[in-house]
Amino acid sequence: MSNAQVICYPDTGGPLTLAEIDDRLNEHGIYQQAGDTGPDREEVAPPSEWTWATETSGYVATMIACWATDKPEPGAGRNPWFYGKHIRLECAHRLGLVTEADYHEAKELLARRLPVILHDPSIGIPREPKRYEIADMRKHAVTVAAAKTDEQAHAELGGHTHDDGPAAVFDEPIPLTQTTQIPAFPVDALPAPIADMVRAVSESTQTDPAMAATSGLSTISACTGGHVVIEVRPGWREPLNIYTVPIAAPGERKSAVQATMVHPIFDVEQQLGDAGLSARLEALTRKEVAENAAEQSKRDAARKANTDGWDKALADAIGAAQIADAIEVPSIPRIVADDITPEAAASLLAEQGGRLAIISAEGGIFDIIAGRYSGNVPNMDLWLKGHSGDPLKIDRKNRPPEYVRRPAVTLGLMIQPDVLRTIAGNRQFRGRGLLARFLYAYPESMVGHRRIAATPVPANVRERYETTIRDLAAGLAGWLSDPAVLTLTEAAGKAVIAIETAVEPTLAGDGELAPLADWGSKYVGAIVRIAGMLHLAEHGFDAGPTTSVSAQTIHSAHRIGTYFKACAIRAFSEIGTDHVTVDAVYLLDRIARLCQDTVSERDLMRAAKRFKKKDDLLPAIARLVDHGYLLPLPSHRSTGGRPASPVFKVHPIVTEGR
Amino acid sequence: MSSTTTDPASTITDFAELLETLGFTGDEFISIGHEHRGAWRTAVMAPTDAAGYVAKLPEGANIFFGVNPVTGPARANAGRGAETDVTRLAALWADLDVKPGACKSLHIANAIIDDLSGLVGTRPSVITHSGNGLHPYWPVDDGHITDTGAARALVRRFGRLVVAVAGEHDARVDSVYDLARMLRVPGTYNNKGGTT
Repeated sequence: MSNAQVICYPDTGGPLTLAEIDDRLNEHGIYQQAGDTGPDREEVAPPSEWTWATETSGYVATMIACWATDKPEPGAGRNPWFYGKHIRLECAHRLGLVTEADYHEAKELLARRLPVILHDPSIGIPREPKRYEIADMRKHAVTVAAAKTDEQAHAELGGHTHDDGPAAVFDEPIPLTQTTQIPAFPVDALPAPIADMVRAVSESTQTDPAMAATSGLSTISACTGGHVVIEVRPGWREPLNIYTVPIAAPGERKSAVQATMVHPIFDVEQQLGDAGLSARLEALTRKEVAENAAEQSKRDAARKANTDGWDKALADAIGAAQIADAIEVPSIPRIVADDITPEAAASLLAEQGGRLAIISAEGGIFDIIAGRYSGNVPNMDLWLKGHSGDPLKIDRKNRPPEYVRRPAVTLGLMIQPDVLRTIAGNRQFRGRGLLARFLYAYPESMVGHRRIAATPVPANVRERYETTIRDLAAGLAGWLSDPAVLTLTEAAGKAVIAIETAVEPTLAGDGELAPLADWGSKYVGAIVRIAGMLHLAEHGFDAGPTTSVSAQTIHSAHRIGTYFKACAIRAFSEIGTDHVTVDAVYLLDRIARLCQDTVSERDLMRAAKRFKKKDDLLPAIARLVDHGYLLPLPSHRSTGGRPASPVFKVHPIVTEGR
Repeated sequence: MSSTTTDPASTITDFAELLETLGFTGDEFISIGHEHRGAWRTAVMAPTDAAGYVAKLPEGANIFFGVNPVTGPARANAGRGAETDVTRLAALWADLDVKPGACKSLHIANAIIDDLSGLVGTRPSVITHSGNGLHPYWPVDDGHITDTGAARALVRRFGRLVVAVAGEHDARVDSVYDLARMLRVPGTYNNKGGTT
């Protein structure tokens, strides 16, 4: 068009705000991508000049095959993950490392995987693909690949060329699993009698203090659970019971530590049992006599059936049965149980006024929760409500259901790492929030460095600890009415708000708790529960409930909470690790044992017996290639006969055992 | 050069009115560039001076203005202002050329604008017929730039939305989504051979 006038016409729209624009773009799948905020990308290699390979390179073929099963880590951005794959594919096209057919097949594969990954609740909040999400990733990836230097494009593909000769140089491999630094357990944050005992048990058993400290906390929880709650502010109360689970390998002296720390509770159980013995015997005798009398009346009434005295005899029999039934025999006091079926635990919980602690140095309880005794049907209400304190209905065989108004369960378990991996396989444990209720601990292993004939626990330290726990347990056991309510000082209330304010942003986006937001959302509550427990252990059952919890105690609980937070991040990282990563870790271990600079696919099939067929092995190989532990070497030209098995160069870090 | 046209005045937005629609104020600066007989010249001035300045340029020139205000002071032939000089995101825009290989017809260009309007939730406030296609403008209310990178990213993403929507109409659009983008001045002429 020549010499046309430029004319502007009004239209009907109003202005937009930046937030509205951002929202609308996200809504339609036009997300901000890495590099969007930077300077303009200069085109280095126009897409019109890119060529197709006659044969897709081994590395690219493996990379694409891996996408069929690969998925982002939980909490990682799903759109950026796919976008990265598209960029790598475009780089493969740009470098002439992929055939046109394989390229289009790979694009279709990614398009098929997008809704699958977006709907997977283990990765993030399920959502639908956005209208332009795929189109934008595809188009934009072309632009990004075109703007890369040759070196940058090769780097996207692990430095691969078709010959993989001189360019086959390893970079530092990317770790297969996330590693988290676990701080030392802040023993000095515990009240003095507990802290001294933790240090002494740690010394005598030559174990990380975290193990005894966590066990000590579950022991306090067994004393306080169901008897006391803490009110953070109107409308927010937390019961003072916790679920703990230190994770340690076999031979780490878990049982010895736990038995020592929980011992005083059994003393109290014995004392309470002894104290109530005569009353129980009396009630039991009265009940048995009444039952015998009722039985006799029943027989008498039966004999007088259809006679003049039958009405009276029947009324006597009913009355006697009611009298016998009304006599309650006090149950034997139980604070702690070990391996127990859900039905027995429920009955015990009802008998003991809603309070029960299960303290065990094994993780068998998880099998029970998963339904070992109930036809593999998980029965989790007891364990979920036992932590939250929500009312629980307990169905009992041949008897009316019982209602526990405020169940308060303590779980003090110690498990092996393998158990954690088994737990991770149960989707309901995570999905229904059971795993979010546990405080995880990773005591550092001292095996191989333990001092022989270490100092035993000094008698005065043991006595002071046991007295503290016994007094607390016995004192609170006598509190049979509604739970006592702990309050916070004004400064303590502010301290909790400060913790909440700091934690909240970490639950979303790139925050450290975002991948475990289910656990993170209970984190401040756990700190408050610990604060209440520390307060009672410090002030005792008498003065404790009438004294407000101080800011210093909140601070101490926060320090302990920080330890548990670091452990939870590691635990959920392990829980969330997908099976391909688990396989890759296993395969890497097998490769390390081979001590070879190069390995073939056949070598790996032979060395890694877990893989029954090649299709099981390939995703693990692809993951090791992706992370830079293996480098595919060029395949030799076919000379007929059986095709050569693909060969991989092994990163020296593997063979050097680093 | 005057900004009058042959259309009824009530249905036409002149340059000054366009700048008002885009929220230009007296304390901002606008960049104007023009190409005449192969020479490219730029000037940065107060928005109130822009219409007068444009009117004095030769009718045979291709004249453009920076959609977004830039830093002062007023100057001539010292560059139109780089992205980092842009002080406010005044509007989102699209550059929909009507020609083979782009939008096949004005109808297609209008259909793309309709679709974009549906997606962003509002019609553009003004549409310029550039002599070679359409330039719809969606003004931004709170576009003062505190982070150039963030503003740059938003404009680029909108550009990608335009590309995606155009693709659905089998149309290709130019990649003209940088903060310092200049578009044709209403009331001027699109002289063949000029840069659009």
